[in-house]
Amino acid sequence: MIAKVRGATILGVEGFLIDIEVDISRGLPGFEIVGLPDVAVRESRQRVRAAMNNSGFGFPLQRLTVNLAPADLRKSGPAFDLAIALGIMAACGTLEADLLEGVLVLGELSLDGSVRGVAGVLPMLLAAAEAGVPRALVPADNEEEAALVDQIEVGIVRHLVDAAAMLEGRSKFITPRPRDFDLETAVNSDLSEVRGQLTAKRALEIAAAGRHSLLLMGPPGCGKTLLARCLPGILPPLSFAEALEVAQIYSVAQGGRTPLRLSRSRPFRSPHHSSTVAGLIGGGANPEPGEITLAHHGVLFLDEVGEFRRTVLDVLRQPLEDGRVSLVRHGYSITYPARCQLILAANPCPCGFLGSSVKDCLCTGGELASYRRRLSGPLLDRIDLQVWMDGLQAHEFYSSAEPSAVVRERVMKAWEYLKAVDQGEAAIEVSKGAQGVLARAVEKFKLSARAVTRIQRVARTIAVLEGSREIDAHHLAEALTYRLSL
Amino acid sequence: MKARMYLWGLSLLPHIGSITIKRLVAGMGSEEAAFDANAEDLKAYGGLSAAKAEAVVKARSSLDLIGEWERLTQRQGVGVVTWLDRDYPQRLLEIYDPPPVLYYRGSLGCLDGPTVAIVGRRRASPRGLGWTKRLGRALGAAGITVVSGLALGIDAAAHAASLETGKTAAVLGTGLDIVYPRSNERLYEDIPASGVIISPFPLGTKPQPGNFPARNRIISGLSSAVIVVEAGKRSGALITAMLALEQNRDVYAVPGDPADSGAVGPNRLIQEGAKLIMGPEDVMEEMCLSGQLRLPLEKPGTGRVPKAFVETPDSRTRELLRILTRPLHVDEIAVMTGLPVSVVNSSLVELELAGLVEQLAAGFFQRVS
Repeated sequence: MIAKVRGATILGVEGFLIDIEVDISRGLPGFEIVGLPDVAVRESRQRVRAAMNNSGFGFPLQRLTVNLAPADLRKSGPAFDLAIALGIMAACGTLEADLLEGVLVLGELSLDGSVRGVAGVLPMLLAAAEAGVPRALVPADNEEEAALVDQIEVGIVRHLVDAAAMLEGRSKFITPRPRDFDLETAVNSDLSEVRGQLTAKRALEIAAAGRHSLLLMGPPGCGKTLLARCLPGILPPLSFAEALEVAQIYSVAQGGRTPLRLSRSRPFRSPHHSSTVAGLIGGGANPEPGEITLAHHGVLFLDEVGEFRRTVLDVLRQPLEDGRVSLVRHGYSITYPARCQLILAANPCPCGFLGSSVKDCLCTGGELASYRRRLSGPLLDRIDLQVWMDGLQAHEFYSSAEPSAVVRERVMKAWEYLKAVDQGEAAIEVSKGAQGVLARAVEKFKLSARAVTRIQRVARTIAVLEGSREIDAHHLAEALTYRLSL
Repeated sequence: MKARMYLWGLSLLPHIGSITIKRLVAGMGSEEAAFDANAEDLKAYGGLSAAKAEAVVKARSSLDLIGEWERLTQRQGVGVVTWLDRDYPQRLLEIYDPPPVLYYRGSLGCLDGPTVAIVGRRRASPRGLGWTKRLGRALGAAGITVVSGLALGIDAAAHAASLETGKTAAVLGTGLDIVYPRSNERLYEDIPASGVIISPFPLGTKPQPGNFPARNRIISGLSSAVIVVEAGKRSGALITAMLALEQNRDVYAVPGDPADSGAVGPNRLIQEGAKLIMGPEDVMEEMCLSGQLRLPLEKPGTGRVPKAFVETPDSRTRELLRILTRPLHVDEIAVMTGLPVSVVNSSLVELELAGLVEQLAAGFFQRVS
């Protein structure tokens, strides 16, 4: 007797539907899973057997073969447990086989038969919705996520017994009500909390408006981290589509462990400087998305960038330019989205007070030289805006500042116009004056071709922020401010 | 010709300094004889201990003098001058222990006229950098060669500023072919065009702590006066100042706020009798009095008019130039003038491009003159 169940797996951050076929035949009792299962999938044999026995359904003492199709796709994780259990029940007649038709089954089983949440429910449901699967069984732990996909009727299950009851019609599938898309964005910090640091704040606004990368250099305590934390608050909120993309990533990365909500806030990730390559760009034996993917559509903040290992910074380069990470493993490859804005903070020297007017630097020449060597790598070459912050003077503690909401208004206007420019609906001219300034700057500051491109891009953003349709001399001049010669 | 080669050979041997070389040459009669001296002669004339004399003889036997000398003299872009040569810097011969051999890039001629050393700490403050730039530019414009040590901070600023308007000489603590620190690479390439880079150390010598006092001795030896701009309590700049006094050079110091760690050095020097300098005029006046400069002088700051003057200096430009007589941070300027920081930044860059203001350290600006 053969039964078929629909399951799903995750590759990268995308869901793929899997057909689970269960065959029961006579022979020595045995239980085999085929079709590229990983260790977690293979171990489901033990969980399924115990869960079925402990839920009173009994486990057939016959020869069981479970096939996961398509056979060439790698399957991983414990999300097939429930589907395999239901498939076995259907195959041995405990459950009517056609009840499983058109149902996506997700969930990990405990030994007592209760159903645990799994990672990646959101992308798996989205894949099911796209394939026209009308219903799904979803662990209660993942209820919030399931509510984000309103094209699918969902049966929330806590136990294997629930699942059977749900399929037999003894309890109901529900169409989850699409939750109100959270309009308020949770704000980390508000710009009005940042005292002084006028140039740095201005640079942050420009960075937000043009999605430029930004390096904040300054002594400890001058507000680098606080400033970086303000960035999500002045960026436009996520669109629904973007928010769904972000939610999918988090569903895969930490689904089942923390409740997932659709939020309009842009993600803000600040990995510690001891992070590894796999931690930052993703990877591992069972590939998981890295920080750069978790910051998709948001901000990746590297504090104390001088303390990061060089190799770790170097591998960031390609993903940042491409907006995605491709990991190639033996036999398969995975692509993670990674369209994030990079913000770096660094002390100007190991002790942190070089060039500060507040305190003296105590580093030796050798320390300085080696620190600079570490900082001025190929990654820093690609940072659009570079700002040197000084410590605060006493009077600045009492200065007032614009709140984030006001700045965000300006940023959103700039985004709109820049989008129109990118789509060819609007144009930005470069004035004669700006060309003159650039020509003189190239000569005087000995700018490289890459630096010139960067400065022009920043100048464009500055012009748009001001509402100008032309890059003027003063826009270009201001863009020239945001470069450091290390 | 031969004598120069043997003198050079002597300078490469261990345990033999310039004083020992002088004694050996005097005792043995010629450079060649001094170079070939046996252990007994080295002990008798050079005053070396037996062990050191042995080491010298051993080092000499492994040296292919003629071959190495040929290779050196054929090397492009590296000049060698010994105290036997006429173009050896005369001022340096006045000191007690001038180096027998100097390696150089550029032309030594700039050391014949009036020279002043500007030295200071590597971790310079914007204020110190501002002063250095102003002094360096004015002295360069007045035809005075500025000597310094091509280190970070004050040294680099002194070279860069004097190079803009005049000539500069850099004395290295490494071999001539080693750029240290690397961030000064551009200066290292620009200086020889109008000035000179000098090293007393053989090619390939790596930066070692012991080299730098010897370099400082040459900096002060080449100069008729030493200006200390900013120096901590134990800065190398103070060593240069002490050496300058031993060599009978004038010592000037730019005072600072006593609370500032970088002002401890110069303020202490002033307390002990160094001349207090408030501007380039003070340096030049002092040099005239001691006969190193002759009147009439070009007025400081008029050496070169900025090439591209801002077409019409508007009121904002005038206001900025008015307050920028001392180094100020961009944010400070914005607060003082009440202008938005974007406007301040763009105005400053335009003024910088016009050559009217300069950036001292990141974010700190000052008027050029």
